[in-house]
Amino acid sequence: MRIFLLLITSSLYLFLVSPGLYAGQLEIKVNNGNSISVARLQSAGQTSLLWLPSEHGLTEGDKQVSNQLSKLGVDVWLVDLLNSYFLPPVASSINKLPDDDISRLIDEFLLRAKKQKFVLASGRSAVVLLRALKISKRPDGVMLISPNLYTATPEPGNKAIYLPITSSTKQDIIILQPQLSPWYWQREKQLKVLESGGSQVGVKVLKGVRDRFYFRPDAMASEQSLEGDLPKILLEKMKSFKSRSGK
Amino acid sequence: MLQKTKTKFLFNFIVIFTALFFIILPGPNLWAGDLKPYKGESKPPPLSLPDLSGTIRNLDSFKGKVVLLNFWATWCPPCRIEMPSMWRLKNKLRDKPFEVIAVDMGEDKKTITTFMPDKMERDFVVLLDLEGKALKDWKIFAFPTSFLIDKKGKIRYALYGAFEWDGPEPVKVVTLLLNEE
Repeated sequence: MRIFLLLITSSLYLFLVSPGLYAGQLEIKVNNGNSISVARLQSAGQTSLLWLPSEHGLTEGDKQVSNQLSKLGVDVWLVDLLNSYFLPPVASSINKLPDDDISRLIDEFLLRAKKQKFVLASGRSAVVLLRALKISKRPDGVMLISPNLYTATPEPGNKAIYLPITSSTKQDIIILQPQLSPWYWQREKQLKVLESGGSQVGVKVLKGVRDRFYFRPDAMASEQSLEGDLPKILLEKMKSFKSRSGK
Repeated sequence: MLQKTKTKFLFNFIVIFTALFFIILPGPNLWAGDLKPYKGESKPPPLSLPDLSGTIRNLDSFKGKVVLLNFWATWCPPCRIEMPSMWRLKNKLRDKPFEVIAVDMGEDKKTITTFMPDKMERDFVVLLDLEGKALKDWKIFAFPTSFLIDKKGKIRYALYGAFEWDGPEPVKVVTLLLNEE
């Protein structure tokens, strides 16, 4: 009997404290009867992360990195953004996402998440995240991987124009910019535009990898290697927000 | 709930089927559109960079020749796809005053020479932009980006994305530029 009780207690303990132990599916009700699908990868740590995948949709790379993060103690909310609105995985789909809905999603996350609350977006999804953050409550930090904040790719010889949200955002932001990208060379300019709105911005260069490195079908060895390290890098960056804000 | 699941399944099926249709039929869709007349300032920004031997090469010294100026990198799949067609174009026009200048973005000599076949290395003027200076001066936001520069040193055509440089249209355009005084 004692052994049986011990086994039950141990199992319960492991269930409660082991990181990344189970995933739950959430349907977050937003506006006009819409709902957004979220896979919640629960963990016992005190940090929560809302993860918006890029315009390429929810990929295996997003899932793998999120899973690893949850094993490191982060409670990850992995959002199936485009499928929730039956949108195809292309850049123009991001423009069709209602800011109000994403703002409601962020508020719900901030309400139900743990002590330290961060949000992340990749590629073109950075645009909808920043727009939604104008309406929602404020997280402890914003992480952007290869953010595409331009109106469009300019014709050769023309200047790139940043979307107005870039210079009207006031958040604590860390950009993770792959080195093997034309945007790598524009990072200082992008930083200045973001700072002009009052944002506090840091840039982490990811050496030897291209944009989309963590879900590319043609990933190079260096990209496969960094995909494995990305959860640790993100965790480190979330900790650095805490030190920046003095929390 | 069952209806919603069915709708999602049907939607995913249509998206995947459409994607496969476009991927399988025309092959890799990495090609850019047409070569368009350049609408920006025709006077080129400065371009002064070392070649693979370390010699500083200046765009001004190519006046009198038609130049295909290409910004690329070895890690960029569309760049790798279009490069052989640039080499074929160079060979078609071997006896003409035509040069291909390939500006590599941020990579060292070893990385470039490992990737590039000897005959391409010999026929192109390969320049190294280790600090991204030319890239910023020329406002390059996509790879590859190419410019066609006439014999007077003016930018006449440009495009970004992979392009089949030895196709009928670019050969005609380059020939017209070569025939200009």
